[in-house]
Amino acid sequence: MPQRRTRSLTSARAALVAALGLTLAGCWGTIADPGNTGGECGLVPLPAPRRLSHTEYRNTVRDLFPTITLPSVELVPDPTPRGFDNDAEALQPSALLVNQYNVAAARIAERVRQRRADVIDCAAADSACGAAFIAAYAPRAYRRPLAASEQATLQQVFDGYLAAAGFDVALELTTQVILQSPAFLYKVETVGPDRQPSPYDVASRLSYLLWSTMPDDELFAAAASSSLATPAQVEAQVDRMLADPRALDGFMVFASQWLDLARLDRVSKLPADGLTGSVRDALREEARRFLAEIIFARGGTIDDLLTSPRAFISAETAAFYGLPAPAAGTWAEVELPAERKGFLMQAQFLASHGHPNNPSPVLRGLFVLGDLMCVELGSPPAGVDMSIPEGDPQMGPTTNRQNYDRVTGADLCQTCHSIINPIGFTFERFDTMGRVRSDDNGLPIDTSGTVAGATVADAHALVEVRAASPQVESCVTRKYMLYALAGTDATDDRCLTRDVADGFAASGGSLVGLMRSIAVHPRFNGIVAEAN
Amino acid sequence: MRIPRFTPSRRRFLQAAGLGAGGLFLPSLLRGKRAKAGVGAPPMRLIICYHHHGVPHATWDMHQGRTPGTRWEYALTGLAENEFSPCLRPLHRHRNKLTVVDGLSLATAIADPHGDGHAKGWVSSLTGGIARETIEGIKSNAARPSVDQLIARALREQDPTLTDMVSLETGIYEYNFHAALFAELQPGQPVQRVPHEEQPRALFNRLFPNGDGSTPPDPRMVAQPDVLASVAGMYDAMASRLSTEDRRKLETHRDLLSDVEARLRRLGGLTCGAPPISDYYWGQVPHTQRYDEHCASFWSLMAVALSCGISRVATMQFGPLFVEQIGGDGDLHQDYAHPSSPDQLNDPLHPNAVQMMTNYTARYARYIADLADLLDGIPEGNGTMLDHTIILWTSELAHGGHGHDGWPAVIIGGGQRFRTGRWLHYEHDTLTTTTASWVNENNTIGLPHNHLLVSIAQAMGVDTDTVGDPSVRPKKASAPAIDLRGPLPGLV
Repeated sequence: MPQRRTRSLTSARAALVAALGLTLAGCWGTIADPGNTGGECGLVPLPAPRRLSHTEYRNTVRDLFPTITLPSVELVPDPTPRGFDNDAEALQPSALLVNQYNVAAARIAERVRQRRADVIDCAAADSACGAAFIAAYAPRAYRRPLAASEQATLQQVFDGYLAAAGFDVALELTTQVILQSPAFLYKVETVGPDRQPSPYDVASRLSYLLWSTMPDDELFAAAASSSLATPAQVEAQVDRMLADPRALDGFMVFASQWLDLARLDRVSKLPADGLTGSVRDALREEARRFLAEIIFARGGTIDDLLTSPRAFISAETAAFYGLPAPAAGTWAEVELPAERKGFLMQAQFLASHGHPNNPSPVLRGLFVLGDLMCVELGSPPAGVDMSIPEGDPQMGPTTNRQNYDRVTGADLCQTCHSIINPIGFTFERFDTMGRVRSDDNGLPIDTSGTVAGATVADAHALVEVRAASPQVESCVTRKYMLYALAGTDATDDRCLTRDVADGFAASGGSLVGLMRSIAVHPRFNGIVAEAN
Repeated sequence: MRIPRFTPSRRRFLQAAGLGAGGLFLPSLLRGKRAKAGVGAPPMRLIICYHHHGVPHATWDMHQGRTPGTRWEYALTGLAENEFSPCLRPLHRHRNKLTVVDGLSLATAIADPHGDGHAKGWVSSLTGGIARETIEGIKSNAARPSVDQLIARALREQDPTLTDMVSLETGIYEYNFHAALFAELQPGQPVQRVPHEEQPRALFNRLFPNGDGSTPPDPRMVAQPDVLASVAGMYDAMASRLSTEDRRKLETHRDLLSDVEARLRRLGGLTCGAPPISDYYWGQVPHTQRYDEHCASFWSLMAVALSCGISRVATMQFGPLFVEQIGGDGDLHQDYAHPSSPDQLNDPLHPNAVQMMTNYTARYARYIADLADLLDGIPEGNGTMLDHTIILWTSELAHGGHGHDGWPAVIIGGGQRFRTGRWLHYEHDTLTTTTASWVNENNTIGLPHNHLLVSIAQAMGVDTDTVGDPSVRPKKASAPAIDLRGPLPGLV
C-alpha cells in the first residue's frame, strides 16, 4: 500500500481557519494542537507522487490542446490491482511505457506543428514565438506556474533547435520535452516555504477527481488569485465543476471501473447467442446511458441503481427485453417489463457475468458481494477443479443450479459458496445473455436464495433487501474513496469516512452527492494543512 | 516513414525476410562492434516462447514405451517424422538441435495456496517463485524476477555496451496482466510486471530509430538522444527536491529515459539491415492473418536484434489462438482446453477436445520451427546462429486442467551449451508441495523446474545456482525442505 505521509498545519493557517469561524474539529484533528497529534483523526495525508493514469493522460492532452484533434496514442494498459487505474503504487514506469510516452509525445508534437496556426499566433517564427508558446502551454501542462529554471530550460531547448533545424523542429521538440517531463506525467505535490499546500495542487486534486483531467482556466485563475483557500471557495468551485459536462466523464471513469463494465469485452459466448460486435457495443452503451442519465444526470441513488425500472434500449437490445425495437441507430428510454428492475437485471450486467454454456451464479454472486457489499472472500483453495459445471449425463437432466450445487457441495467449497451461490441463484431466471427464460433444461427454475441472513424469493427481493441496507452505501463510499485517494484504503481514516458518509446521506444518497462530499472534504482536497 | 508492406504468402514472407543464406537483412556490424563482439565467438542468446493452457499429454508425449516417473533419455536424431508425436511433429526437421525436457513440475506454483492455476502459472513458470500477491484470484504479482529479466540484468552488468534493449519483450493478442515477465526495477524494491510490445511496427521503430536507410535521417529523430537527456535532467532536478521515499519512482523513470537515450546513441552508430514487417491494427485483416504475420515479423526483428548485438534475450508471449485457427468453434478455454486435461479425456460432452488442443499445440510448434529455421539460416562462427541461441518453448500450465505437474519444456538450439537431439525424462519422486487438505502428503510430483531455469541462466553466463525461491516446503511436515538450487542434471 502507498505510504501515508503527513504534513503539518501552521498556526497561521489554524488562525485563519479559526478566524473564519469554521467548526472543523473532528474533520482533520485538533487544529489548535500545533503538533496535531492528539486529534481524533491524525494528520492530513500528503499524496505520494503518482503518474497520471492513461485516462487522465489522454484527457489532459486533449484539454491542453483543445483547438486541434490529436492522434491516438498507444499505451500499455495501466494495472488495476484494486480495481481502479489510478493506483499510486501500481503506476510504475516501465521501459516499454517510457518508450511509448516518447512515441506519443512525438506524434502529438507533430500534430501541434502541423496545426501551428491553431495553437499559437505569432508574427514571426522566432525565439519570441517560442517563448510565447512555452508561456501559453507549459504552465497548463504542468498544472502550475513554471519555476524560472524550468522556463529557462525549455527556452534553451527551443532556441537550440531553432538555430540548428528551424522553427518547426524546435516547436516539435520543445513540445516533446514538455509532454515527457515529470511535471506533466506525474502529480507531484510540494509544500511551499510557508508549509502550505499549493493552491494549484488543490485545483488538480479537484479536477482529476471530478473531471479526470487538468484544471480549466477558471480553476487556474482561482488558484492564482488565492481563491481556493477556504471551504466555501472550494465548495463553490466544486459545484461549478459538477455542473460542467466534464463531471459526467469523471463520474463514468469511476463508475465504469467500479461496476467493471469492461468485463463485457472479455466474455465469450457461443455463436448461436449472437454476441456480435454491434451487440456488445449496444450493451455497453445501454449501461453507459443508464448510469449517465438515471444515476448522474438525475441525481440517482443506490436505490435507483438497484431498483429503477427505467432503462435504455436500441434495435440491437430490444429483443432481450421483449420490447418493440426503436428505429435503427436511435435509443429509447423505456420502462422495463415487470420481471426486471435495476442495473443487475439489465442485459449488460447479466451477459457480462455468464459463461458460454450457462449463466454464472458464482460470478453474479461475487459481484454483489465484492462490488456492492465489499465482502472479500479470498481465492479458491489450491488444487480445486475450476472447470465450469456442466450436467452429468448419467444423472439425467439437471438445472444449472443443481450443477453448481453438485460441484461446490464439498465442505471446503461451501465455506465460501454457501454465501456466494444463494445470491447468484436469485438471477437464475436470466440466461447467460440476460434473456428471461421460463425453464432450465426443461426443469423448473428455483430463484430462491439468501443474502446477509435474509431469505429472498428472487432477484427482485434481493435488490430490495440490498437497497434498503446501509451496507451498499457504505461499500460504494469506500470504493469511491479508494478511487479518490488513488488506491489508499481510507477505512482507517475515521473522520474522512464518517464525514463523507454523512455528506452522502445528507444528499439523499445521491452518487453525485457522494462525489461532492469527497471533493469538498479538507482531508481530501488538502486546503487545510498542518504543522510539524 | 513508411515501412514496406509485404503481405504475400507466409512462406514467401519468411523467404523475403531472410530465411536461408543470402537473406536480405543479414546484419552488418560496424567494425568496432564486430571486434568487440568477437568474431568467431558469438555470444549466447535466449528466446523464450510461452503459451497458455499447457499441452495435451496424450498427443505430446513421446515416451516410446518407456515407464514414466523414472529418469531416462533417448536420442531423437534417428526418429522418422511419423514417430514424432502429433504436437511436436513440426519440429522433426530440427530434431538434431532439439532437447525435450519432460516430467518437471512447477513446484512453487503447486505450493502457492492462492489464485487459480493460470494465475499461479503466470507467476511461477518463469520466476521459479511463489507469488507475492494475488488479487481477485487472477492479478498476481511475483516475488522474484523472471529468468529472462534476471539474465538481461546480469548481461548488462557484464557488458556496459548493452542497452535497455538487451531484452525484447513481445507478444501477440495478449493482455499484459496475463503476462509472465517480472523485473526488479530498482535493487531491493518489489518486482513489477514487465509489459510487452504487441505491435511489430513499434518494435521496428525502436530498433531502427533512423528508419530503414532508404531516406535521409529525420532531424527530429537525430535529436532524440539530446531531447531525452534534457527530459532526464528534469526528472533528476525534481527528484532531488523530494524525500527519499518519493524520489524512487522519478529516479526509476529518469534511469529508463537514460537507457533509451543510451540505446539511441548506440543504435545510431550501428548498421543493421531492416527487415520488412507486417503490422496491422485489430480488425484490419482476418485474425489468423494478423496472428501469423505478426509472429513472423517479431521473429524477423528478434533475429536482427540478436544477431546485430542489440539484444541478447527475447520473449514471445503467445496469446491464446483463435478457435478458428485450430478448426473448431465455441470457446477454446472452456470447450477444449479444460476437457483436454488428463482426468477428462473420456468426457462425452467434448469428444474433440484433445484433437483441438493437439491442433493448438502443433500450431505453436510450427511457429517455433519457423523461428528455428530463421536462426539456422544465419551462418555464425562454425555453425549457425541457432547453435548460439537457446529457444525455450514452454507454458504456464502442464495441461488444460490447470495442473502444474508435467510441465512441458522444449529447447531448440543452444548446441554450444547443451547436448541436443535428446528426449530427457525426469523422475517423479519429489514430495508434493500442495497445501490442499485432501491431497495425501506422500503424493509425489516431478522434479522442480527451477533447476532448468538455473541451467539456462548458467548457459547464458550468469553465475548463479538459484533462480526463484531457493527451497520450498513439502506438505509433509516431517520432511526436509525441497532444495530448488542447482542446474538440471543431464542437460550439458
